Amino acid sequence: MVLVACSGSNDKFTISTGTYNVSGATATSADGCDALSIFTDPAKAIDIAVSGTTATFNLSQTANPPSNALPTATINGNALDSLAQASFTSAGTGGCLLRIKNSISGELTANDDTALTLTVEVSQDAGSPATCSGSDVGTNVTLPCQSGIHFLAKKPAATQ
Amino acid sequence: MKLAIAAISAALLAGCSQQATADLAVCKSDLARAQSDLATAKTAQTAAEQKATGLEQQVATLNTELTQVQGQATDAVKAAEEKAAHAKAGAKKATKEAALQKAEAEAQQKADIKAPPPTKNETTQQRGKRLGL
Repeated sequence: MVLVACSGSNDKFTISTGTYNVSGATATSADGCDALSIFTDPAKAIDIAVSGTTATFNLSQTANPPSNALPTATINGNALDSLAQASFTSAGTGGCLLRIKNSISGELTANDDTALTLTVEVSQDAGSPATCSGSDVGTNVTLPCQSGIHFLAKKPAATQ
Repeated sequence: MKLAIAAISAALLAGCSQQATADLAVCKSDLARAQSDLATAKTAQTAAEQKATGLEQQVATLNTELTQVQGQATDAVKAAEEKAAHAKAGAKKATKEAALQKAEAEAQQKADIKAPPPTKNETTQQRGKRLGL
């Protein structure tokens, strides 16, 4: 007699606070902001902070970032539903001020293992003292720009 | 009678001869004075010509020196103008760079993400930090 253990589609996975390694990044739409190259970097990692049913993403692993620079998602079963879009400014060249918006959604594919979709929009901030150019964002970028990136984020086994 | 006539003629001839001799002496004297004047004039002409030649050489020398001085002055003016233009461009560039740095500092202060503005050698990680990605 053979017993087959199946992992059903009803399994509910968990996600915990920590650093997640990024892999398998692909563009889901036109990569107008040249964001894909950031997520295909082999050393790329993100920080995820989990509090209750809210996951907060520190995509750039910036120390003490302002809360408006961190997109959030609600953990709904195995789904990560976009909760709050990050909207923040960053300096370009010559006094340019960029407005960057991003949001995250996705799903848990295993414990501390996620498949995420990032949407990025970059434009010149309304209060920018100087004119921004695409080169303030990346290569072959025309402002305003949009990028859609799909990637996997998995916490290394040793830290789980 | 004939004798008387002959005597008179001889007397007249003698008088004429004396007059001619006197005239000739005057002529010779005038000629000598004229020759002397001519010699003096020639000497003066030669001296004047030599002086003129000397002055022409001086003029030529001075013209050469003037040309050199004018050339040096032109070069000096040109060098001064270039130096002034260079200094002006340097000051303008410094002012522009200072204004750029001030604008970048202000923008960075206003920005939510406190990352330095992009540079030519910015790495992908630095760009990600700057863009919050």
